[in-house]
Amino acid sequence: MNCEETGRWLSAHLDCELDLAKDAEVTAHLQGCPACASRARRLRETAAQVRSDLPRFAPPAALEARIRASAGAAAPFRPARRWGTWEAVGILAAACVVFVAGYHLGSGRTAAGQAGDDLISAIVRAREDERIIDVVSSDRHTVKPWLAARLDFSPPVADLAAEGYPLVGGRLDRLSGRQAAAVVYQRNQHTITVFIWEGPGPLPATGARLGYGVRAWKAGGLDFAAVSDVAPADLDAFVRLFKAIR
Amino acid sequence: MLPHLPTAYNLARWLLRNDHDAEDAVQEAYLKALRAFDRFRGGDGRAWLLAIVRNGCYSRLRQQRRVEPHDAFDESVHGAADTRGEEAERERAAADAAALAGAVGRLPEGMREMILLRDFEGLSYREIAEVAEVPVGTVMSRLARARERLQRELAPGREGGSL
Repeated sequence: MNCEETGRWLSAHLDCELDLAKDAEVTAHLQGCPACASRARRLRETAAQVRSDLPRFAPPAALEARIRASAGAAAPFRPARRWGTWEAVGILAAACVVFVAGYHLGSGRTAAGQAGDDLISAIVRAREDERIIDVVSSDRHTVKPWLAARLDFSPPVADLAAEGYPLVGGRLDRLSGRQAAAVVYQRNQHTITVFIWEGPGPLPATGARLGYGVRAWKAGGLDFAAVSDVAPADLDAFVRLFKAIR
Repeated sequence: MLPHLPTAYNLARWLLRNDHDAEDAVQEAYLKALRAFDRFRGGDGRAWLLAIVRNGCYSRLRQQRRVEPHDAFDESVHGAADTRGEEAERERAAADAAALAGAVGRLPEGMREMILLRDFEGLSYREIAEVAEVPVGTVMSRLARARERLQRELAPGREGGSL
């Protein structure tokens, strides 16, 4: 990774928001490049300065009263409900607490939703970074060892070209802080990404999410999620084939 | 206290840079949030509310014809010209909270909101993506440009690096 590329990822590196492989590349570059290391330090200082020195504007005391008054006036237009307006906001606030707690306990529906969000983020990130594939090969005997050498587990990689889902390649990714293999297959003009990672943890919810279909399952001690924008029937067919071949 | 009111007001005030507009925008946003509460599907209530506040601020800015399109954040449009005055020079030399506030205030809104949501309010990239209704990758690149730019404005003589 050169200085220009490092500069592009530096900010996200400081925020710990990069995927595993990219983060390692940035760290390696910073260790050998005093100029970029000093640039990183200055960026960190700027962020810290904003945190500590930027003036915060407090809402004027009258604002809350004004909002409550106008909400009261607006209330008759809202559908009848058993709880009042501000109780609703209270429930909203309480819901946040419950959801946050849900994340931290790593359980329940919300955790599954969170895991689903992580999948979509990983897809979008790969697309934006134009880093969809680290190892380009239609040969599973190339892709599988490449991934296995970089992960703590050996992800199954299937050859489904005859069934209409040719293998394109694979990349390293990260889901909820865990390393994951992302194996990419093609279906007509679309791609299907199969994420494979080690449990335990909540499986992402199967269904549709932000325009992507998600199918998640467990097999052989590993968690799987196929994500794609192909037609749902194609995705289901792919998952059946994938499971059968293993 | 209404949930998230200080955060909502601070965001609106920094985006609109005017007490009166910020108060109106926040009031509207809370009313809208209450009307839309039926559609709230769970998830991050703070991000949901801030997205409504932010959208209200941007429509106000658009009405005031002060907002640039999102992809106009390049240096040719938002170059150093607006910071060249003597006043800006003094601010920079002082390098104090006022200079920082000035520099943040001079950022284009799309960059300013990234700095506010991340460095000031401590939201994750995912939450910011939800508030700004853009992909996480866009948050990443926009925030990076915003910080670089802010840092240049605050320390013009110390650039270095390999840009």
